[in-house]
Amino acid sequence: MSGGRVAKLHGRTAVVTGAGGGIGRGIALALAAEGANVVIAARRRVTGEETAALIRAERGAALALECDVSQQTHVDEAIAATIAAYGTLDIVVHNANAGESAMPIALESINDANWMSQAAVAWDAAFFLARAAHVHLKKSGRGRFIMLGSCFGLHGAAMNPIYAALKGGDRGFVKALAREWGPDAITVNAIEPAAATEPTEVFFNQYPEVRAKYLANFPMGRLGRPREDIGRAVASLCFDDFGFVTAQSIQVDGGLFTAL
Amino acid sequence: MNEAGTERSLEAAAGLTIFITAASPAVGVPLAAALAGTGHRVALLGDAASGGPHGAVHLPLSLRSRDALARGFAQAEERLGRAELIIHDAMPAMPAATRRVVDLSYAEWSQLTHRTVTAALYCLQAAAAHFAGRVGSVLMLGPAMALVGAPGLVPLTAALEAQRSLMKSAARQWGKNALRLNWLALADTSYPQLAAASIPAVPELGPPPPAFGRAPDLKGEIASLVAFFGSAASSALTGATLNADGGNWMVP
Repeated sequence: MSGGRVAKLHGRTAVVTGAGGGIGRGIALALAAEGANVVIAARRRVTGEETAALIRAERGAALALECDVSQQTHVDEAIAATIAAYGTLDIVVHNANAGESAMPIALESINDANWMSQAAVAWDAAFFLARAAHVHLKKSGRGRFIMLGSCFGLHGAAMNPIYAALKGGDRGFVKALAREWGPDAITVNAIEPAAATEPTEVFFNQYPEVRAKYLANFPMGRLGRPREDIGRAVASLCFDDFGFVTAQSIQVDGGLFTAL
Repeated sequence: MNEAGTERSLEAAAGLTIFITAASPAVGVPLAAALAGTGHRVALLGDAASGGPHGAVHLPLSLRSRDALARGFAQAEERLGRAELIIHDAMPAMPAATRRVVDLSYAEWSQLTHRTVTAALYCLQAAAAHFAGRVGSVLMLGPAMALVGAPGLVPLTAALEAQRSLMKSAARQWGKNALRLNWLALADTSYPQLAAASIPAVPELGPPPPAFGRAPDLKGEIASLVAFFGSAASSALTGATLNADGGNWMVP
């Protein structure tokens, strides 16, 4: 039970990458509030432990692991530790992004190192997670593999082309993997959020005139909240109610992007 | 549009100077032959194994090197003049057999994703430098399959969609420089690498797609459409995806 109602993810186990803060933390808290055991895979142990402490303070179950998701051995070890701790793995949420993903870069100046610094976290990690988690998600019988995408993937981004390309690629990854894993009763989807996070606030505090102009694009007049808006949407995708939804990239952005 | 003098070079669909990067034997090379055969000046830049058809200049070079690409574009310009249209064949060389994600090695994953996308990136960079603020057009080609995904083709689908997004970012960034970038999605049957794939069918209960009952002819209909992207008639298009699969996936 959670708040007097049935916790819909009781007995299930989720791994959330990049859950040491921001949207990842919001997702971890939302999943735990629905009764899931949550494994927090964070690059820095201290931030992962902070998220775990918040979950435990709400009587949830959490395990924090230091994990550089761009390293295959780290991912394999995190999945193994999850099974050792909880016996199952039902949900994987790949939320981690490289720190550089928020930094503008001109397309003509991108080199291999620029590309790999972001692609290793966004793409290689998705590959490592999929490969390591598949057997467990299949065994679950109601497995969920969820990527955190971005509407930039569909409409491009003049000054953030690496991030946009990776997120565009994620849309393809989700569609193809969903078709590959459908027979195993594993759904594969992406959530494309627009949320207020620490970096967003830092940016808006630096450029206050941009805040109002940007927010005017949102029919709901505000950015999403990591836990209440984004986290709960991710948790909902994990409910049995959404077991027939797969291969989708779903905007959870207050109506920001309506071009589809 | 820019100065009329520059724009005039795009007015005629015939007699274009066209550079094609990463031309595959199944798509880029026959397109080059068709374009060269209809009066266009064509250079192919890329893997030596691709070869060059009669009538086209072939410049073997590594797509892994930005410097090599820049030199290749300079050589092509020396031979044929400045390009009006640059085409990038976005489909990577790959085995025909499909592979599940769980069976892929990291080397296979990396080859299909990182190497494919960075090669496209370097071609776009070389194209922008080549046009250097003058009117120009870049067209990227890929299979329509990438719009829907297919089992056993996860890294390929990701790499193609990433390149399509890269095209849009470039269109947004370089539009003010009179450089236009677009994507042409071709029938999957144009790509023999996809022959063994389980590509999803359109959820159509009527006559089987495509609407034409056939895929467009690569050397005729598609070659003409490709040339259109080098002409002034297409000057309002940038960041667009045109689906030329004969009426299969009618999106968006």
